[in-house]
Amino acid sequence: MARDYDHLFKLLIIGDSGVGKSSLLLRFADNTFSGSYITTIGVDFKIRTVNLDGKRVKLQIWDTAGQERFRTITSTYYRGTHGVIVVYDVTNGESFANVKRWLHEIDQNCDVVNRVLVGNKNDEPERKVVLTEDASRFAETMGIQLFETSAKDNINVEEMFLSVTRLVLRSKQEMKERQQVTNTDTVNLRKSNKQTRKKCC
Amino acid sequence: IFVGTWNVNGKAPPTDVENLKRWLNCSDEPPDIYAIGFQELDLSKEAFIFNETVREAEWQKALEWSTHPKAKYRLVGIVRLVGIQLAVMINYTHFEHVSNVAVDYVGTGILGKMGNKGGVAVSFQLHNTTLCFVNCHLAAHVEEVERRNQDYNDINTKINFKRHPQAIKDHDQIYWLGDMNYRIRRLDTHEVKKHIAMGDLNTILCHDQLNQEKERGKILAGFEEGDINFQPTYKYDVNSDRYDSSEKARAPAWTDRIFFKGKGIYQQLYRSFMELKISDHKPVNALFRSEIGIVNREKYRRIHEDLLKSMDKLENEFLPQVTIDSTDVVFDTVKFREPQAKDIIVANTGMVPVDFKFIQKNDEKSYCKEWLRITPFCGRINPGEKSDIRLEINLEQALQSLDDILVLHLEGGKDLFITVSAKCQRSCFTMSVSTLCRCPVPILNLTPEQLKHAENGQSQVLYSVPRELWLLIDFLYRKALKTRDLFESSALHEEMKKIRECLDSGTLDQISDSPYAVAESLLIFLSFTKDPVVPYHLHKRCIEACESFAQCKEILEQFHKLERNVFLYVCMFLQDLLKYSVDNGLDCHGLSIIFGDILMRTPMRNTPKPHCRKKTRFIEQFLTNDLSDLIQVNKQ
Repeated sequence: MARDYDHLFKLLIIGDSGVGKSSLLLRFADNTFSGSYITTIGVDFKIRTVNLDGKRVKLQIWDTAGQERFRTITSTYYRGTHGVIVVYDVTNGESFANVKRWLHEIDQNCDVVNRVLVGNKNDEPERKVVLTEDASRFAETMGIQLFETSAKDNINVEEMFLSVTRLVLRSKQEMKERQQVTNTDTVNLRKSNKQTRKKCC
Repeated sequence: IFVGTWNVNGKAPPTDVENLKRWLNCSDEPPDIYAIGFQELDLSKEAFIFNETVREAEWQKALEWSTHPKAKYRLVGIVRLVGIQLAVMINYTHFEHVSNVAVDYVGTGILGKMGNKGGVAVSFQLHNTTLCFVNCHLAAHVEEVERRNQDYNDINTKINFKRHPQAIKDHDQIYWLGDMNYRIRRLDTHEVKKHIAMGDLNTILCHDQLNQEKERGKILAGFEEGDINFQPTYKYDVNSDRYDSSEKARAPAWTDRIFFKGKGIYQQLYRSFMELKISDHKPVNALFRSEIGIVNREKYRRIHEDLLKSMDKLENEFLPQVTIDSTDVVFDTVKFREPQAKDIIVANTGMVPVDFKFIQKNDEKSYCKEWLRITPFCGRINPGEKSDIRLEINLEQALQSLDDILVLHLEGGKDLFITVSAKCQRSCFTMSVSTLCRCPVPILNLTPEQLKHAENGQSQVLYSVPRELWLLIDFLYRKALKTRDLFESSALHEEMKKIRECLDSGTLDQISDSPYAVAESLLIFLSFTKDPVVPYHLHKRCIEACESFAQCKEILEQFHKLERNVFLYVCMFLQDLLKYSVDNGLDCHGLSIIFGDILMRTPMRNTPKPHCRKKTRFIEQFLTNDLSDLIQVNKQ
């Protein structure tokens, strides 16, 4: 057994610059937090393996540069992604307003993909400007799940990553089942073809 | 764990199970496990030949009736080889923790495989501990010690549960019971009986064949046995406590024994049970307090997760890591053909060697723009080491600024983005002929507005050829008509730079002291005009027409007016130069080669050889024929 996992999924974290994408990844993969801000110039990834519903799932989580000038380059990294985490900063209204653009970016670059919406920096109520109600109403209309997290205080981070993993796992299983159904269909079609041919003869 | 062994001498279980119950209930608390082995369960020929017997069910039923009243038991496994049977039962509250049950048997009787002698075994896992119970009946008779040793070894090595653990020895705990059939050596029946009557068991035990063979290391290596405080269990007259009174008068012996091996086994009891008299053997049993390993699920999960985490951590730490001293490289204002270089330092800050390379982004053809050169563009850096990467820019186009984002890819790791930018200073080189002819002042003195209008052709044409071109050629007319090797010697970079600055800023001083630098500047000027002097779409026709001056002239009329002016102006100058060929050593063919390639340059700047020759021929037509009529037309 060369492979020590049942599934390998690629997740992608996107969102405006400075909303805490790298911090979320650092919290999830290393369980650490660094207060100093280093802007990501490039695309980095870390791995973490989780046990979920009896399956061992290896996650390769890609953290992308959020700056506008890198937008066209980062979009090429969407290829082959199973799940996308769209992050905004609950203390920054503009980052929430831009979520729509990020979702659009996903539609442009991915075929079928599981998405979650994440409001990060949810640790100082007095600085919060994006209300939970507004965010969850928006998430509902877009048909995606909302998580309010804090990478700093380690709130909801684990849950969020596990949720998106579960979404991916489920959709993969559904696709497998659907394929099986299609396969039996194919067999049936062939059978009926043969029968028709016989009649012709 | 209650372990019992009894050679029942082919008898059916007693109808009154009272004594059986007493045998099986030797403690207040019910045992968790019963392992009961019988030998000679059925001595009939049917049992021997067909391995079928009603006794199995009878005895099993009797056992079930007789187990400890304070608990209910479920059968874990039962196995029988002719008359050798082993049943393992467990308190039903533990049953859900039983797994991996398997049984096997080995015959060692006649032909070395028949089932009148041999062993049977039950293996299973309780929680996290693997247990094995072996019941055996070894060869009989005093003198058959070696045979018994061999039987034991056959059973020990041949039992195979065909899964893990496979062999008897692989289990955490092993309980070995049975009619071992070893006898008392060198003491006759009378002596043995005397010692028994005196209660002196130790003397007889010294002569026990089994103890002797075990000490010699022949059998039961690593097994332990409790102290024997009971009298020999063989051979009795049936339904009595009297030793064999028949003619044979066999010497009493401890044929029925129980051994154990493994960690955490504590023997509580080892005894025979005299009240069961239906057989010529008395049953023997032991009671063990055995430690069973129970996995703490919560702890197991936590340790497992910690392990995963530390493996992930290791994997993350072993990803290639580098830092770059600057990911935003800004060059000084860049001027035409004045290269600039900057180094970035890539340091391997990770644990593994890094293979890096610059990769294309999006749909671009190369990993960087054509004005940039990266050396090296790929390579390897060992941990703790650094590598300088040189970024060199060279401007040869009319651009306002240079901007690129480089993607530095680490093999098996992350990508880093490096932005490169520079402002460009505009120059008369790289401008179009049309723009230059509309500039009222040198290029650097233009207002943005003026430049815009000149570029889009809105402003008036002020010169019939670009002023800069006139300055260069005028210089050569005045100073270089007789200079040798004019277009062949290359000039100093500093002199070229001076000429360019002079032309761009319009300083009216002498543009140069060096005819060679001016001549080379002329070539460069004509090489980098925004569009080739001979419009690209006419090249094919020029090549086709190159042998006929009349046709060449026709094509010339297709040129834009200003490009036509430039073309003729240059050709006229070259004709004049050739008049002094005695002094300057120039020849028509040589000049045609140089200027054909420049005036008719292709976008990719590489022309196939046969075309080169024809381009040369096209220019030659204009250097060898009289151009005066063409200039007349121009004047009109």
